[in-house]
Amino acid sequence: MRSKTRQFAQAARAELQNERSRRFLSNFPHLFLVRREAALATFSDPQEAQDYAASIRREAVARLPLLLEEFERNASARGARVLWARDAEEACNLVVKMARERGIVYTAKGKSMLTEEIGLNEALEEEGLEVFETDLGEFIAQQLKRPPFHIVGPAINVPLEEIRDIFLAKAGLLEPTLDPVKLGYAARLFLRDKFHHLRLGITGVNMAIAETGGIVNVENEGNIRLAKGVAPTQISLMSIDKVVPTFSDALFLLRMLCRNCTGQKISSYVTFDHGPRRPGDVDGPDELIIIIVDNGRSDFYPDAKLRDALRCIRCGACLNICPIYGKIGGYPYGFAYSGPIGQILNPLLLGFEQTRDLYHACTLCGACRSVCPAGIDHPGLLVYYRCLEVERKNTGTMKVFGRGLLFALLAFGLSKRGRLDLGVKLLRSWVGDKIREGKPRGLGRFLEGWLRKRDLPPLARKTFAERWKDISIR
Amino acid sequence: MGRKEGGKEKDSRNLILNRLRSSVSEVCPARGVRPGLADPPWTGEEKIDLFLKNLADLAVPVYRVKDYQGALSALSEIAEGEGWKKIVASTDPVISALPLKEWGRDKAVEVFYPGDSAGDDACRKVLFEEAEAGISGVDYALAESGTLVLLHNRHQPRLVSLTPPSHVALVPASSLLAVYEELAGRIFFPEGDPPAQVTFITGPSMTADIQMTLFRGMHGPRNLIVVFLEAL
Repeated sequence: MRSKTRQFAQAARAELQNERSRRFLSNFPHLFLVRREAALATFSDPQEAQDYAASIRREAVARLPLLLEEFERNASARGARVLWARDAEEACNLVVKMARERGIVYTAKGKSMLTEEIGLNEALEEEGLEVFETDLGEFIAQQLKRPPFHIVGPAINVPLEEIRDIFLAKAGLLEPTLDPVKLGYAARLFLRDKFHHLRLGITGVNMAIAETGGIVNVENEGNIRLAKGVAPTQISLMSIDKVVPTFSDALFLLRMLCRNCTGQKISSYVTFDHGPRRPGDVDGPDELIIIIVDNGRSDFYPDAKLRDALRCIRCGACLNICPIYGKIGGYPYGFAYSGPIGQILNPLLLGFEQTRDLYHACTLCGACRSVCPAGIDHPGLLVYYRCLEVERKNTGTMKVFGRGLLFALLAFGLSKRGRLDLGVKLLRSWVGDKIREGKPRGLGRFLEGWLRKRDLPPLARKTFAERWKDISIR
Repeated sequence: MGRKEGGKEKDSRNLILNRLRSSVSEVCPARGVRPGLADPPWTGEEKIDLFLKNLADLAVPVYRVKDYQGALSALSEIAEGEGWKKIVASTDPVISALPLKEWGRDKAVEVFYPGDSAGDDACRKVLFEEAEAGISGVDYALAESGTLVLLHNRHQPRLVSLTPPSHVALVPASSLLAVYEELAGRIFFPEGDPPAQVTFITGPSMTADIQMTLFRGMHGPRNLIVVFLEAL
């Protein structure tokens, strides 16, 4: 997927002006959160459950290479073919090559954030293959050529009129309608024919179970079940971080994923695949190909802090609670992942240079961290990214020396009460004289830059400490 | 050419794994006890009550019957209500004990068994275009979320519970388990191979992707109907 992360500020400003987006965002994230809370209340101690899920994810990330090998061994023993891809290009080439070898003309896909990330659709289309996204939201987003608005509901914000028009043009809708159910039904009919004759089904993976060699898909619509039930070839792509230790761990995370995501106890359908169909089975794929994709993750894995980004299970709870996402929606993040997890992942996958706005557009309120079932410390990571940026920038000798001197002075001034009082007295009278209309003038570029967006009211003649002394004496 | 490609894939595998391995591994503290749901474990009636309550929350109609005779009456009622002409059925142990063919002759409903077919184009056509309902048994049911568990094999085809507009599931009371964890030993650790696919079904196919409006029957069945066999 081509990233547009550099346009964050511009896109965010546009979305802030978008009445429809604003109205929509004032409702739906909140609704998800209410449902989430009710669903989590089915645990005797919801916080304990969140913590336990986090400990599973922590262990999975810590033991990543071992678990991946165990998964590969067991999945192969069940008859699956396991392939590895270092980057997006290699992953896409593998899929293209396999589609070519099998004479495939079109494919139907289940929703997969990883395939968004690696731009699989574009790669297949460049080779002349038709790609049909089959999750309703993803289907709409694909037709409109829009990035996902939300990890869980990619087109949940799109107005009915737009869906009507695009379905009339491209999805076989016969009569104009604004009924969401009729629109959904039109998509069902259109895609059903694709499923009926499907030769290659492509899916993502929600979890890969090391202990059993199985892959897990979580969905509500049944499109993934169809993709895996009809086509003779199934290709499932997973990033390296999808692996979990045991079947019981997967079941526990399933509870947490669904509750945190849509507030369901469990989604309508969950499928566990262990190899292709067995001899005698009348449906299911003849071959199951699992592609394990790295795409930059092993580059940052050695950093014990950055590694935590790999814990994410893509539930979307952090998006729903984020006050920034709640104002601007998913488009400005400019890549497959939006909201707080997008601010964490996109810089790691695309590089810090072109994602600067993403990791700065945060007030560090910590709401995301409070709901994360994987135990990710989003604000901590964002601060870390900012630290890394400062370290990258401040490499010149003069800069390092200047900063050292500044902090030495500050330490000297702050370490004794008398020095602090004296410093404050001097600074106050100097700054106080220069305030005009709530803004200080002529303080030099550095301070004025810092104060540009801050008001400075006239300073009182005496400090609080001085007045306190007067009062106490009286 | 083929060998070269194979070599490259192997390179990628080793490169990725080596990079991950070369990092200092973090020592994970032992995990505590897996937290439970509120008020487990449920036994007997409690388990049934919770299962049925969860189905009610999902708006899944439930027919409570005693045995196969009762199940056939329930099927007759559903068939009449939905106007069935042609249905598909699994040949799993629950269904194969049901005299479905005779019932069909009696009610003028054609019953097709994909499990007895070659799984060819004709079978596909019945599944995708002709069948008005799919009837299957279940291997397990889970009280904690009102979930049906199907272990797919030649007698439990994947598409019977998926492509027709309605899915009627026959659930013997003895298949009911309290929580997910009880499945582990039953699916993975008996002798032999686990099934190629295990499916959890919880309610009908649905989506809210257009403006959060609920739409049932997006790609799978619009109706899920449970026939609960109390004496089996």
